[in-house]
Amino acid sequence: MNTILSCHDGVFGHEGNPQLETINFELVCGDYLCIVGENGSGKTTLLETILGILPLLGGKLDFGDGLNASQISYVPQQNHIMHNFPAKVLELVQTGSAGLPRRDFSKTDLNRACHAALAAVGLISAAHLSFSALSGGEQQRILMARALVCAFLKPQTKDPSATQAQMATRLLILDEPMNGLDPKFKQSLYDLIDRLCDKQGLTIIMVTHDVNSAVRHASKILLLDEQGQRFFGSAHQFQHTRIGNEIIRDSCGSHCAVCGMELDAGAGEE
Amino acid sequence: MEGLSQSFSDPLFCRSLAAGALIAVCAGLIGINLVLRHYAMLSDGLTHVGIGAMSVAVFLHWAPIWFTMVVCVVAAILLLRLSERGVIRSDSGIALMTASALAIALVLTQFSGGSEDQFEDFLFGDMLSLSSLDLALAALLCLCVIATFLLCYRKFLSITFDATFARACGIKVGRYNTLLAVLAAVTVVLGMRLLGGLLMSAVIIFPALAGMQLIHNYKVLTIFTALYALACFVGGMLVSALLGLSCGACVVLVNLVCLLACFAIKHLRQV
Repeated sequence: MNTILSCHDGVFGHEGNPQLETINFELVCGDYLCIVGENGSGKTTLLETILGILPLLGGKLDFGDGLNASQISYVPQQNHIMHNFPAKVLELVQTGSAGLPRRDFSKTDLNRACHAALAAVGLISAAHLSFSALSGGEQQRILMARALVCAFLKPQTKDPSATQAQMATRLLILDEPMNGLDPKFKQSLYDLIDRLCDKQGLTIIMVTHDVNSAVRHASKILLLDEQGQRFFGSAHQFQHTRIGNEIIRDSCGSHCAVCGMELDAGAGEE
Repeated sequence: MEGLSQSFSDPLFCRSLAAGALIAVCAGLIGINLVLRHYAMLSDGLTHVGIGAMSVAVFLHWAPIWFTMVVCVVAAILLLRLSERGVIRSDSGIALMTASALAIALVLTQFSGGSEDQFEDFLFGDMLSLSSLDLALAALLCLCVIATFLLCYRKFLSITFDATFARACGIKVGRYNTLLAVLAAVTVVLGMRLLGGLLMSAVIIFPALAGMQLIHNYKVLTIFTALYALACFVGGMLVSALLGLSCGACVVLVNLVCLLACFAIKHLRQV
C-alpha cells in the first residue's frame, strides 16, 4: 500500500507558538485514523495544519501517492457555523465544490453529485428545505454531505479518468463529527464512514472524544495529550499498551474490541 | 404632487436619484454578506471614518472624494486584518474608529473655519453635492459589484457560511474578504455624500435584516436585498420630494417601515 500522508517530527501550533512537538505518524491509502485526546491537546490544530489552514512550524508533513489539496475534504466542528443561516440545504451542499474550477463540471453534474452525497447521509428529502429548519444532528449530516460532494462529482471532460482522479476526494478529515448527535444517528454516521473507507477506499482522519467507538471503527489511533504524542499505532496495539489499556478500561470495558482478549493480558506493553 | 413634478424637472434631483439607485443596489448586495459575517457595524465605522477623512480633505484643500475613498479602503482592510488576526475585536475596533474619526472631523471643521452647516452636510448628506463624476463612479461601482457577485457567488456563499471550510477547500478567504471590504468602503464613500455619514449604514444593513426575516434561500435573498434597497431608496426620494424633507432621513424611514412590515409578515406566518 502507498503512503498517503506522513509526518516526521512535526511541530504544530498557532502564530509561531508550538502546541504539539515531535509528532510522527504515517498513513497508507484506505487507513482510518482516529485522533483522541483531552481538550486543548492540539487535535484541531493538527487537522488545520494538514488542511493547510495553519502553517507547519517544524519537521516534515508530506502528502504521498499523488494526493493534492483538492482531494482532501473536511467536516469541521459544528460550532463553526451559523445554525440559522438563510440558505437551502442544496445550496450549502453545493459549496463543497467551491474550491474547484467551475469549468471542470456542469451544473447537472454538480446537482447529481449533491443528491448522491445527500443520499449517502440519508437526507435526500431535505435537499430543498431551509438549513435552519433542520435539527442539530441533521445539520451535522448536511456538513458531511458537503464534504462528500467531490467524491461523487463526475467531471465534464473528454478524458474522465484523468480529471476524476484529480478531483475525487481521497482523504476525508472530520473534526468531532459526532458532537450533538443522538446514538442512532451516531451509529449511522459511523456506518457511513466505515462504508466510505471500506468500499470507496477513502482515507479517513477523525478527531473524536469517543475512544470506545474509535477502537471499534478505526484501523489506527493517534493519542495526544498536553505533553504531545503518547501513542501512534493500530487500534489493536493501542488497547494492549498500558496507556490505551487504562483509557479503554475506564471508558468501555475489559476486552479488546479487535481480538476480544481480556485487556489485562497485554497490559504493560509500550 | 407639484413638488414631485418640480423635482423631476430638476436635473440635479434626477442625477441624485440615478446615482443613489445604483449605490442602493450595491449597498443591498454588500450588506447581506456583511450582516451574515457579523460585520454589519463595519459600514457604520466606515461612514464615520469617511466623515473624518472628508474634514481632513477640506482642511487640506484636497479632492474630498478621492482622499476619503483611499482612507476608507485602507481603514476597511486594516480593520478586517486586525480582527482576523485577533489583535483587536471588530466591535472594539469599529468603536475606536468611529469616535476618533468624529473627533477629528469636528476639530478640523472648526479649525478650517468651516460652518456647522458643512459639518451637518457630512453627517446627513447633501443632494446638491453630487456631481456628474459621482454618477459615473456610482455606475462603475455598480457594474463592479454585480460582476463580482456573479463571478464569485459560490465562493462568497462558501466563505459567508463557513470560512474554515472554505480555507480548507483552498479558497483564498483573505483575498475575498479584502475585495468585499474594498467594495463596501467605496459604496459607503459614494453613498454618504448623498445620504450622509450617519444614515448610510442603514441602507446597507436594513435590506439584509428585512430579507432574512422572510427568505431562506441565499440566491433569492441576495437578489431580494438588492431590489429592496433600490425600492426603498426610490420610495424615500419620492417622499422627500413630495414633502420637501431631507432625502437621507426619508430613505432611512422608508427602509424602517418596510423592515417593520417584514417583521410583521414573519410573525403572521408563524401564527
